[in-house]
Amino acid sequence: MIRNPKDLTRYNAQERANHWLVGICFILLALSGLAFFHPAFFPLTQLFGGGVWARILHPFLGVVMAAAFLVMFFRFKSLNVMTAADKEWLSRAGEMIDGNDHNMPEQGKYNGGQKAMFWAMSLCMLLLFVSGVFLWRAYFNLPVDVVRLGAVVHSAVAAFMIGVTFVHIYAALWVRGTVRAMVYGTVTRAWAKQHHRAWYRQVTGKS
Amino acid sequence: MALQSLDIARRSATTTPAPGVRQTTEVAKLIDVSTCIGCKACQAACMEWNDIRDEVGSCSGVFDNPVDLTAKSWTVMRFAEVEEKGKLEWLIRKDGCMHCADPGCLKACPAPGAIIQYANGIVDFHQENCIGCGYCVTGCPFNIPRISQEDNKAYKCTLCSDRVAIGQAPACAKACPTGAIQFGSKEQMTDYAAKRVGDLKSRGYDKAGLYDPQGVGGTHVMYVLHHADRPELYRGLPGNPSISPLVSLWKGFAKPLASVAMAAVALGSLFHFVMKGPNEVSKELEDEMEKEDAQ
Amino acid sequence: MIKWLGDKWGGNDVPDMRPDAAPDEGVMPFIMTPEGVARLFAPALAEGPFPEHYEPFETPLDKNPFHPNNPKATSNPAARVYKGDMEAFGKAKDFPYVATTYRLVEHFHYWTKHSKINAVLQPEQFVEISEDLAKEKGIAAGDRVKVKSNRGFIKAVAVVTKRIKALDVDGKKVHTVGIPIHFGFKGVTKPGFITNTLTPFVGDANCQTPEFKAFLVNIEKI
Repeated sequence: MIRNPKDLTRYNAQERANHWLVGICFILLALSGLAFFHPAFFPLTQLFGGGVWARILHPFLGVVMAAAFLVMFFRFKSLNVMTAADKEWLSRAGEMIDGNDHNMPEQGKYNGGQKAMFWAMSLCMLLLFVSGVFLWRAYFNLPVDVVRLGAVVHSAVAAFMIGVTFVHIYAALWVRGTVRAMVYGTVTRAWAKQHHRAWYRQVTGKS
Repeated sequence: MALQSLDIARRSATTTPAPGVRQTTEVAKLIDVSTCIGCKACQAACMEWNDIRDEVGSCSGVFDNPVDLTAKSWTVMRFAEVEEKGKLEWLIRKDGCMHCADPGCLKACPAPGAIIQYANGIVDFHQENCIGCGYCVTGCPFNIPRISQEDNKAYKCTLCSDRVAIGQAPACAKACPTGAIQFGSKEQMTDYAAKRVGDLKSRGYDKAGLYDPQGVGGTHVMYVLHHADRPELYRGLPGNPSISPLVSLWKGFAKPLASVAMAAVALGSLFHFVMKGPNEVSKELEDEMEKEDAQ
Repeated sequence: MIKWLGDKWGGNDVPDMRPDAAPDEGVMPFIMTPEGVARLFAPALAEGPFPEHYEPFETPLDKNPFHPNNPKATSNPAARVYKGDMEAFGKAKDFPYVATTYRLVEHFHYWTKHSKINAVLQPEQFVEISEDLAKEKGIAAGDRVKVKSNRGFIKAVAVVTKRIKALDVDGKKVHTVGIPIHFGFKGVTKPGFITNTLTPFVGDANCQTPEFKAFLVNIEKI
């Protein structure tokens, strides 16, 4: 991999570390969570040292993920405010998915799809955290109807978030040159010019 | 024990059926609240048979001791003084697991084999498989299972499954001095209850009846109540208990639906990639950049 | 009641003597008396001849309602009361409530407070009062209260119950405080007081049974 010194910095070291902390926690939470959700996945608890350990660790991992995500939320929320261009992008997202991305409206650092992903994940994280606390019987003893609601919300939102995360991961893999941004922090100028032209102009000062 | 596995009707968090060739009689414990004197001999017997000793609590202004079920108190007497039309009744109910035919705890439990329903109707916790998550507490319509602070496992009345397995009555039934706790086949207990209800009705309790709630498929612990039309008088005995629809949804339809949806997204991504190919940066833009660098 | 059926005695009861003893055989039915027949009154007792109502030595009333004009007949004149005991009795104006002592099903006398199982079933000393008295004194179930007699005091938890009601005695409203006996300062139960600190020193005229079931106390929330 040849690194061109003219490559643009998209994420600094703290942002990358923060993202991967959230990501690793999420994967561990998804694996242990699926084990509690469906008996077919229960053997996944062996990855954590057994059912009891999975049950102990899952909520603590959730707290770590929520705290790390909160930092990301405040760091990136102003960059994810929806604009008219984003709404147009979303209405034509079908073209993008088809592979035909040359007629999309100009994008800033994040396109409409990414912004929608940000808000979806933020809402999911909040719901998961609150419902997770409701379920954490080791430390909290809430009325049973609250716990029942928490169970339904937690599992539904978790399943949804796993699906949404698959999309997030896939999109990063599908658009070549994207994963590099979060692993090394840089992207090529051509990548930026193609996918986020307005951001490219803002960062380089060129048209 | 090898022989025991043949008597299992249902196991928690197991998608395949348990061995089911043997046929056992369904048993039941009948608690006649009208005959109970609240002496707590059943509580003492349960402690002695199961080698469990709870903490010595304190008096909170009522006769209930301990005031609630715990991981070490699997049955408690609940006292209620009910005064109506100048008549005072001291209603004393023995609280504990109802051993439902459709157990909410078993439905909610995520740990395979932690909750077992035997063919005779007894619902037993196998603590060696329990992960201590407390889902059983969430699933139970009667608020019975309790998680131990010491070992983080769930505990409740076992209907003395070990005594019943060798043909003995549960310890509480053996100890009861008034015969308020009877044990036998569910059929025998239903017949006995009918006689008790007839006797109560002849003495003026015209709403006397048997509490065997069908919302959970019937239970293997039943009550003869003086006021079967108002179970709430007996310190919160639910009137028409059933597994909460939230629990049925969470542990029912949601499972296959969510699994299929997640698999669909994963497979969908794979098929999208092989059908559309990767999204590469266009060659023109790459060339443009190279030209810029050369300048 | 039993009667001679021709060949044996029968009816609602069972005879104490030989069931086929014919009436003309002269077999006496009341086998526990030397005369063999029932007694209308007992000849060898300290008081009598007929049963009488006497007020307890600590009475909430100022007279015996059956003998309102005979102060000497207020309490049993043949009861055992020694010098010094009379002075230890309390008066209704200082101790307005009637107390009685009794036993709980979870304990037996004083030794079960050392038994773990019994202690779990009934862990702490309490007194029982009616809802009426509780409201009058501002006591809620679970509150700690002090119960005093002229001889001492105990402290306990208050159980408020519908099972005790204020009595209307000779036109006067009389409250009762129920005091279980089993607790003390040692044992696995919560530390408590000795109930007989409160009780009066007076014995029954014939058998000396102490009058622990009816005496006067006062109660307050602490």
